[in-house]
Amino acid sequence: MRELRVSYNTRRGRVEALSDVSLALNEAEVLGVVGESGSGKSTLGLAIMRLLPRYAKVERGEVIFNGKDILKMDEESLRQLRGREIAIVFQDPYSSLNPVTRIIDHFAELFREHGYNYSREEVLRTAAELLEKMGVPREKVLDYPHQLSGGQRQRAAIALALALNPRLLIADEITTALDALVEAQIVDLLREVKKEYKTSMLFITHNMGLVAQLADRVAVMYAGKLVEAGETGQVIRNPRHPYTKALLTAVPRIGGSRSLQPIPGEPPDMRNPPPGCRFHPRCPLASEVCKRETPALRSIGDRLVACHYA
Amino acid sequence: MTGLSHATTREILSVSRLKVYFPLKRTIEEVLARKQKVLKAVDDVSFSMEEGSIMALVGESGSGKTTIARTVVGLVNPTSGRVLFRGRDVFSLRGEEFKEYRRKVQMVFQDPTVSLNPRMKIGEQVKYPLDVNKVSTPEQRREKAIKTLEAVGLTPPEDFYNRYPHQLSGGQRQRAAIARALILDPELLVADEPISNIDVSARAQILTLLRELKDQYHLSILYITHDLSSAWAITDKVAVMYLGKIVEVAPTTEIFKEPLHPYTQALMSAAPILGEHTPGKRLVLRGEIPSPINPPPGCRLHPRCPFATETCREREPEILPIGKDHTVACHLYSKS
Repeated sequence: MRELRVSYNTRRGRVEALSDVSLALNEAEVLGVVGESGSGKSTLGLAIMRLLPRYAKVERGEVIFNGKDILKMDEESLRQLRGREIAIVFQDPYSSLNPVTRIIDHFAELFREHGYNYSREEVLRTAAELLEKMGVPREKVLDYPHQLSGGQRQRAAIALALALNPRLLIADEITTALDALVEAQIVDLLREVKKEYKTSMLFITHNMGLVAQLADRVAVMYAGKLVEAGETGQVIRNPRHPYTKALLTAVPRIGGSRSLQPIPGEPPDMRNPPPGCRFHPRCPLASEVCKRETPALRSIGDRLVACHYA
Repeated sequence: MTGLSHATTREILSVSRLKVYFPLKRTIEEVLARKQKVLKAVDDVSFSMEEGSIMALVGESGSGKTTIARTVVGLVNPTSGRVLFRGRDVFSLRGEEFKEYRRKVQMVFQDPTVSLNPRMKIGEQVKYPLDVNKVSTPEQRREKAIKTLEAVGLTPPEDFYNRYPHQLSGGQRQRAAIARALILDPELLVADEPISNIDVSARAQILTLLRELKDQYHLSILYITHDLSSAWAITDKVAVMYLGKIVEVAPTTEIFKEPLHPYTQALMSAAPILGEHTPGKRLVLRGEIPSPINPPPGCRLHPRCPFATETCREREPEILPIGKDHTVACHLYSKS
């Protein structure tokens, strides 16, 4: 992904959701994308899939997948790509599951769309096996989505996404709506998927704790910009960007100090983002230069950081 | 203002053997057979809270924690059992006395986008409880609203007074909702998942605010959450709920150091811990929380519990005291 810039045209003016973001994802790697609402992390996932709403505009940049720019593909190549090469799972499983369609028919449609001539029995067997692998009882294959529990629905959505063994799975806040215990189960499942299928994953979340458990590398986003990226363990142990640091200390650690260290201030108004470094109004290190100049993303060792003081 | 404020006990809230059942929609057969199925949202729950403390009710969705919150503030009537506020049975209060109770116990809801009226100015909404209760003069009410906005950190308050909810960030909206709950000078604040719908960076702000308000206003706070790290940070005592029952209660530092109930242990080990790449020893429960319509017999956790025995399948565990202020409802700890 190179220099991707995406804006939304809203009634109250132009909002730049992604500002020249460049990111690379290697084969069989899990990249955690961490950010709060408005950071642009979901726009990122949608842009890769070319699923952005009509009022969105890709102003510049490219998304190279296997040597081809997804943003320049025609409809037919896109159709081939989606589901087979890249699949996406959303926070709400109903975004991928149709409430009036049985689980099995979701699989049947996917196979048909991609030119597999499976008999009903073959679809049934394949779908049931996949569900079972993802931890959903086989017999649920004949059920409608609402007959599954919340965790099962999300597992079914993951099974469907993985049915054609895509090379990239985009998971957009897929555990956010789930309870803590189910969330942990889904993260375990993704870890197994990574091990077994060697699927690359873009794991989009606001929860640094989940990233720590799953991702090889992490990219931290703030107000449409990439502020820091690096190997997960290192970023967590030694964050270089003040926002990453603040995000890590803002979550109280169980068993640790009970003093809270909130991030001061409010998230920026994206219609009118602060000049210079977008984090400067909330940053303890901010100085004159931060108000004036946008810090470039620099590599420091194996880390990418966009901060004048890193 | 008489009655409620004169009790001398240090205990501000006590819930005893509380049951809240909701009737389910009946099928024709059930109507004909005059049967009524119920959902046991809260099933025989007791706990107590000390004045000036923050207590957490922790559990997953379907555990009954929100139903307890709604019962405590008087939005839901209990099926049986009692809620005592400063020693007096809340549901025996009538008329003026019940209204006074309602003023003293206020609630903050999960999603400020829903709990605030989108068409009403922030200041007017914060002031509204004073208008309804016709407290003092209009000028004094406005003044108090401005003071309260300032107390929750919405500064400059005159500016925020005239804004609408959509002009505020999620964290600011929740501050406004807290201001509205505070304006009648309550003694007990019931906060139902107040940080789960706001951004990570604003969460610690809201938690800090709650802790400051507790000291400043001498508030007691019943804090409902599924987020263990926030319970660790601000509470004095934790009660863990599963399928309508409290399974364990203990002082916060103790329950996190030494969780006894298998469900508490599972919750703790599922909490993502930063800095550890591979999670250590974990207690994993099978499956998911079942529907509270047909809870399992015996101990409700037994179908999912790795330690379940014959006894667990048959007999409901009693609440056992383990040390000072620590209780657990699990057969593993019974002496026999």
